[in-house]
Amino acid sequence: MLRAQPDSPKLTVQISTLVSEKFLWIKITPLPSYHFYYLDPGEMGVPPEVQWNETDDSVNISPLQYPLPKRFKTGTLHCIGYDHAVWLRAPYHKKNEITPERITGQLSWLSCNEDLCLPESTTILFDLTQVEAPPTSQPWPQPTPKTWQSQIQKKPKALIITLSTSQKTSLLPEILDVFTTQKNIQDPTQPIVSEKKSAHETSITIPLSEYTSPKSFPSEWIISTSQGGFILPAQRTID
Amino acid sequence: MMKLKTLTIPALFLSATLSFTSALSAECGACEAGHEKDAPHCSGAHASHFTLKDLSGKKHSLSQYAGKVVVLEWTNFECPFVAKHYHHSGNIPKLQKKYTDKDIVWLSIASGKTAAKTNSENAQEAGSAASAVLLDPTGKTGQKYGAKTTPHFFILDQAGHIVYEGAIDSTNSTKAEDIEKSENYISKALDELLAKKKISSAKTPPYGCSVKYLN
Repeated sequence: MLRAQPDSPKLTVQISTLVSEKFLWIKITPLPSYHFYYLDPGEMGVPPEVQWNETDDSVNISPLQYPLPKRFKTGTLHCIGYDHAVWLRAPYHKKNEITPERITGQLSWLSCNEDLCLPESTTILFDLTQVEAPPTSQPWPQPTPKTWQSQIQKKPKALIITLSTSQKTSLLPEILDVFTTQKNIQDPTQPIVSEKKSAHETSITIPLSEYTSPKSFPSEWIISTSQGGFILPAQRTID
Repeated sequence: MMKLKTLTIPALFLSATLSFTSALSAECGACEAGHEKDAPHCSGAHASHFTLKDLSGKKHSLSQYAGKVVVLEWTNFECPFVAKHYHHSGNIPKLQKKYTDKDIVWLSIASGKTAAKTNSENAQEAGSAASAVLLDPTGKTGQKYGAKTTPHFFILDQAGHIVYEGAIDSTNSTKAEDIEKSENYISKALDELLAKKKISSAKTPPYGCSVKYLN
């Protein structure tokens, strides 16, 4: 594992990196009282991003993936992010036999506590010759099981996702929360309501942001459950 | 049901019923009922009255600017989203200069805990060219308007209606280099207002640091 070389001596998070067979991993550990943000940060915030340095097209790097976030308040604002150590990861793919030994990038993020926000950045380095086992301590959202069926209904101020299982032996887990990977889709100030109709059917009401337009509906929904996170792909909504 | 209260105020504001529970009064509903064609700027509520002191202790009441276009800008010079548009680019000072030269009143407001940290030195360091920087230490004015972030803008037309509420531009970031590629909602709304056109984007999601209210 590599520790990033900070551009500033006053970073509010610790950064380290790791290379596994399929992913470039970035661990962000905020100092106590600080947090950083998810892709949909809620009422304020900016998620971490990486500006990759030139890799002479021999390596293809996909966008960063984020683990399940949590909700918290910054002052009076409802936010979504992380106040604990998490791994982010970017899938990578070698396009040629000959690849660079190192990949570097500029990681930038916004770190906030109750009193202040600090935009920070650091250079991150990945040594492709040092492939390690991926971190296992952190679960990642998985595709929804094939036994699940879903329907999304559009109401004036909310979306209702109905999940059901076709097999009587397959029970739905308890729904804990739902996140989107785009800002201004769901209203972060309103709670998501999950109603269990039966052991095989649950409806989830997601209040929509006043800034939502049908064109901006997300490509996927991240459903947090008692059995971990699941990725529900976007689908045509029913009016 | 919102509680409404009528005040005695200067001539141009006589017809305005001011909401003391929210900047968004019941007038808003009437506009949404289909009066937009007759009153293109009647898309929003009447602005709440306030009296606040500026950095030199001089009092400013919203009513003293009756008949003028007023920009209310919630600010915190320590916030990186604000610094993006002040220290790192001069973007907001340029807008302030451009539009105050056109007789528009630009009031920057520091609410809650930020009021105690805002002074002439850091306003000058930021390059502020606002008509005034006002202090709202109790945060009551910010809360009446529902100011959430710094920056967060409200544009009032000559009749005291809120005709724009939201962000300065279309890119939620702290990076000054993003300004060039962003759509500036404030200059767009002010230009449309001065040209007596309907405001094309009356409400956008604000971005920035949270306003540091006391509670």
